[in-house]
Amino acid sequence: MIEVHGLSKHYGDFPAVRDLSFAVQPGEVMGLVGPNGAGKTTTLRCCTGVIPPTGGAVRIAGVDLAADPVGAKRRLAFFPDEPRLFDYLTVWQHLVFVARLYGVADYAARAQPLLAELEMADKRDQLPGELSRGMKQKLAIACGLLHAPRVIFFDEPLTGLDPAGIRRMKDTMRRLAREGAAVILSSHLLSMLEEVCTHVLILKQGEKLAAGSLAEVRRRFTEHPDASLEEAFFKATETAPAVPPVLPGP
Amino acid sequence: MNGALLYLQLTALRNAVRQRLRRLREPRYLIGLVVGTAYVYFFFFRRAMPRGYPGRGPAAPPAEVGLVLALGFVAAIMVGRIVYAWIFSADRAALAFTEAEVAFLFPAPVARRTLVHFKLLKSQLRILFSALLLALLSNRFSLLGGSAWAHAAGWWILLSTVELHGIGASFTRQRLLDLGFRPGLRRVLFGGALALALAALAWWVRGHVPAPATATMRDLARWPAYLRAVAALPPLPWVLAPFRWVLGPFFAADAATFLRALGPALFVLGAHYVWVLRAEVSFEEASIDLARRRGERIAAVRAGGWRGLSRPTRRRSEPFVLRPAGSAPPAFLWRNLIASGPWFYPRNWLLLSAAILAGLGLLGASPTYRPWLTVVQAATFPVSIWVLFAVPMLLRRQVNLLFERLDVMKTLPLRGWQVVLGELLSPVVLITAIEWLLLAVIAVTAGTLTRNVFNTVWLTGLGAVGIALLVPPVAGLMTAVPFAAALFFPDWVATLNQPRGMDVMGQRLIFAGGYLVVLILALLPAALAAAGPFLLVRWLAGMWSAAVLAGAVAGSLVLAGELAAVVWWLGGRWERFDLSRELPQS
Repeated sequence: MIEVHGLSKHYGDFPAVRDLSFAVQPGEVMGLVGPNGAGKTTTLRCCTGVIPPTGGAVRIAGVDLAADPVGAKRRLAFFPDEPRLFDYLTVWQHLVFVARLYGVADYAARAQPLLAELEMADKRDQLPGELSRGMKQKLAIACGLLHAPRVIFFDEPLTGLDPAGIRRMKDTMRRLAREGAAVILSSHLLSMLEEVCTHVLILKQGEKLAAGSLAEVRRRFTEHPDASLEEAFFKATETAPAVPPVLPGP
Repeated sequence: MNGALLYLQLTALRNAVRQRLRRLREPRYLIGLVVGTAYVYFFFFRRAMPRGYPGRGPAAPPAEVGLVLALGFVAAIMVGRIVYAWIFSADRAALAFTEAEVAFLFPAPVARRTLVHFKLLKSQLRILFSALLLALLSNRFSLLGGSAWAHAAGWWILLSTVELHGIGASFTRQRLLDLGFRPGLRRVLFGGALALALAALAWWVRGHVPAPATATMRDLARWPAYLRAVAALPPLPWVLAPFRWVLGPFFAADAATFLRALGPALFVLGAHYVWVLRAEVSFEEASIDLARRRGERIAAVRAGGWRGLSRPTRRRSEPFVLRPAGSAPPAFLWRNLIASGPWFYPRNWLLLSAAILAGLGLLGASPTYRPWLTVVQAATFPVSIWVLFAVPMLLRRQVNLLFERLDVMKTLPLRGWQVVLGELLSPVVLITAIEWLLLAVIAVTAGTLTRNVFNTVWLTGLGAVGIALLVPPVAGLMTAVPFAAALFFPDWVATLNQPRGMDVMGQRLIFAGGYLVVLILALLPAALAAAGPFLLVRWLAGMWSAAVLAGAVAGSLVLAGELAAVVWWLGGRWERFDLSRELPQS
């Protein structure tokens, strides 16, 4: 699970995240939402050890990220919006490289079914340059899942994917949660979050506006129990929804 | 030309200049500009201009060997470009436009010929700037006679002709493709014709102009006369006439010769212009594709990803088997060696080294060619120094690549020192491999030249082993400097990725200066530690090479300690490194 207590991050005098606390249990998928500049990416980066927080504590599967960063990172996987791959390594060589970094002794036994499940078994000798955007994303996922992480972070996971890729990604996230992982997902696509997430955390200007199950958040900010997350989001952040596009006259 | 295109060109130029001037408000650009300008003035202008102005007395006569070298260099550029254009290039007819130009100009009501003119005018900006720089460079190294202005005009004619030839050749290739000549068939026909012509030429020259015997270094001076005799042997003067005409203004020693040479050169240039303009082939589709690829390349380079210049298309074998268990740094070495290419894989490198050393042995066995070993030996020293300095500077790009993936790299379960050591390993291994080969070359050439092979190789080899011990820690420290610069001054290093400008050049010079200072400070303790054993062994054994070995052992131990401390220190910095300034916040 992920436990965050009093997390804060300042860039000089500017507070990007302020006193943020939340927890995500195994099997839960938490959507991290907020307008631009709300502190979503900063929160993700602090939680994954990419940047040091100014204050607060993050525990990954029970391991304190500040006290034992290596131990904590062994239990997490982070998927950025754009898959970052090595041009000169094939699909299989990427997995070999990752296996060595994470010390996955039985990587061959794990990688084969992983590639098969991601429909990449026939691509093992191909370079990233030969793969489509969706295939690259799958390779990044295969690399991230090779060490069986308990905590998984996704940053805008649907960027650049086609409809089939989007569906597959959503299925993957749901499956990972079903298998017991705690998942945090940052995205602007509220309808997708509504489909995938069990919980949601709304941020604005670095502060937590709301956190809880989807139903709880909907109930808190809207009058109708069947209102959409989008409606709840705009109520919570008090932002006017997008106006209809103005088309040129005939 | 269409007024809108002229407006586009001039406005873009004016805005680019304004942007450059505006960024001088930042001190690092201003300081960079001052340093860059001072460098260009003292290195090029101060030496070049007094000889370059016409009417300041006759220019110095060109040195014979220098002229041959210069001719060879310029001819190699031309021939290489032409051979590439006609034989190797597989590209379709394409003109280099930016993606924005494609988006705005191609659907616009602009004639095809206007587009070609626009492209030619645009390329002239680059060519004029290149001609000026090359003229300064060619004048700086006093190999040639003539005036700076003649050189500038000569470079302009040469570069413009080569540019037009490239475009014309691509148009002709497209025409051949349309007629059913596949690239493979064209390569076989043109390459075969060229190979046949060269073989016939070699046979013809051998029968008419005997090569000079080269028993000693002094005999090398006969080669310029030999090459002149070859160039005068019919039919070569006719075949080479267009090349000679184009190069005529460049090598003109005085104003009268320059003016006489100008006519034929401009004729060749004009003929190329007409050729390009009259070629009616469709270049639009390939140009769109080219613009897209250029856009991707530029984006990759701006992001610091120099690999964006060429993406691999084939799977590469692995340098060694990477087992899943074990420490992490070798995994970085494994990955980076794959990226460097198979030349540096242990087995391939050993085979290459053996082949080079065997080749040198064969060269030394021939009385005719043995003097060339002196040239090889003399060239090895500057090359080894260059490798030691230049390769670590290239690490800056590797560090940029690391920054590109920093958000993923920082989530790896590794200590900072493991990442730093891993990233340093591959440049250290590459430098060490090259330097050890060069040391072996020096030892073997020394042995062969003194004709006391065993004794000299043994003696030189002893010293070479000593120096070889120093190479890995020195290379490690040198590669650590750009790494440290990137971690401690990320803004400054990010600026160095910008491709052009005197201010950016100045910043690179400041960086190189700081690099040298840090390096000297790092080497000082090792030099002090090496001095004692060196002097002691020299006094006791009286052998220079043994003394070098003893000093090198002591020095390398100190350097290895320094390197370990630096890796540990940089590792700590890596762990605390805050990406906030490198990555966009949201």
